[in-house]
Amino acid sequence: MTVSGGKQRFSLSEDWLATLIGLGIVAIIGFGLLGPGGQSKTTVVEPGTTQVVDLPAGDGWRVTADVDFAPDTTAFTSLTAGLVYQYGCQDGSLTTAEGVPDALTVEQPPRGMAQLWLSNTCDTAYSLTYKHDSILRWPLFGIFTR
Amino acid sequence: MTQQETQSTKWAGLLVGLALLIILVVLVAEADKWIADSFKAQGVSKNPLEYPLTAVVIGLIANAVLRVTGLYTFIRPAVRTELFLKIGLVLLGARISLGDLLAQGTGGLIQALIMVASVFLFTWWLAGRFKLPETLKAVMASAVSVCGVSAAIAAAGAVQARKEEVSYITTLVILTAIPLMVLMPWLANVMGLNPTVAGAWFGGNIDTTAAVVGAGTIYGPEAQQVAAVVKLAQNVMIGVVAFLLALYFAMVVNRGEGERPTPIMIWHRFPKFVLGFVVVSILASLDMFTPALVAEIDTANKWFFALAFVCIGLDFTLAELRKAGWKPTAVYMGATVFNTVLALIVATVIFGVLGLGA
Repeated sequence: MTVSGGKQRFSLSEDWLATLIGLGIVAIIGFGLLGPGGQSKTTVVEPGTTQVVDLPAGDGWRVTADVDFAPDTTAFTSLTAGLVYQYGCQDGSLTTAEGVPDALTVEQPPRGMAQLWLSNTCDTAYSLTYKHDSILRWPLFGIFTR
Repeated sequence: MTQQETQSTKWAGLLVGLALLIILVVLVAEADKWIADSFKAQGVSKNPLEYPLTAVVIGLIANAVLRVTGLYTFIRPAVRTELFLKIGLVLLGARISLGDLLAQGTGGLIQALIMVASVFLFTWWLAGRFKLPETLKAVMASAVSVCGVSAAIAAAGAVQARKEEVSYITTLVILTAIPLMVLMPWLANVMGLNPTVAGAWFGGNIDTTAAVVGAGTIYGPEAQQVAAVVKLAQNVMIGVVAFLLALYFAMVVNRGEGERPTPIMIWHRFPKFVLGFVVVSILASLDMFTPALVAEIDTANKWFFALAFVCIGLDFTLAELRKAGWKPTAVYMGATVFNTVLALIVATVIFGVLGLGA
């Protein structure tokens, strides 16, 4: 890194430039400086309990669970900020409902976040995973991973 | 042409060149997919012609076309092989945990110490037998033993070599690196080397880091990782080599005339991008990246490596080689053969027999 005399022109060596660009890319993708970044959240719900999970609002979530359900039709893959989404387990299958559950005091999710309510009335625990890719998955960027 | 006009032309060349490079990388990805699909149709699941080779070939074709059309000099400011490669290496840190980095880095450092010392002294001795000038000897020995073009430039600065000597060595580095990038994975496959030993061999032998990464990529992800770490361990030696060379030239060749170098030179020549690589690796080890994020960073990494590979093809020129004559070429080739054999033995012992880096 040098500051040359006279006009005080700032110049950066190739090594530092590469480091800054590399770390910048990691920051943009990894920490979601231009968006929420990639997400992966797995929650285990024990029988008779309820778990509350806040997730960034957005489309394109991938949902998987280790109980019987049809992820394409049942799961909430689009989450709207401020809304609450309910999952439950009944007779060994995952059930879903949208909105604030009756007779429950719900704390508003933080700004820009949606909330998942995961309850379990089955005999065994189940786990639910929400995954989201980072925002840079546009066609040209992904040409090496087709 | 005024200085302002020259600057404007340079900026225009940089922008047009970058746009052209992006188009070439898209072409590489399309060609790579087409090749992979063609092999799949023949029942071959893994594409034996990985994208580094496709990228170099496309770079060579673009090089020829640009020279014929007289546009080569114009877009030259965008051909930044080393910069693209270094960015790619910083991003590669996301795939390498600190534990792997320490294990492979320790093995890599031990290998680097043996390789740099042996190959440097052998090249120096061989160049002496062929009566090459002292400065050319220093630049060539550094390029073969440490890390190709970067080492040649650092050594040239330390011993005040002529610009033509650096251009000449740069040509030799690329001329040998391209065939080695393809031949070494093939040979490693024939010899049945495991990915760790193969990666250490590529990292210890091929002079330019871009071709090391290319050879590793062709052999597989594990080999690519080990090859890159081993080469980075070798890269960090450049500061020490440049300092010792400067000291030798000040004390012996120039007999105390001129300024005596100080140890701060080691830091000045240290490849700082390695620090970026280590930082990203530490972040990855702290579980700060989800698998989805690592995949995204990996995609960015592939883009920069592909840019570097295309630039290898664009960098290639034979003009300097004709000027220098056969003697330096013979010394360089002799040193490369020595380097190849020794690196295989050292990599097998350190990463195979002793199991460092596993």
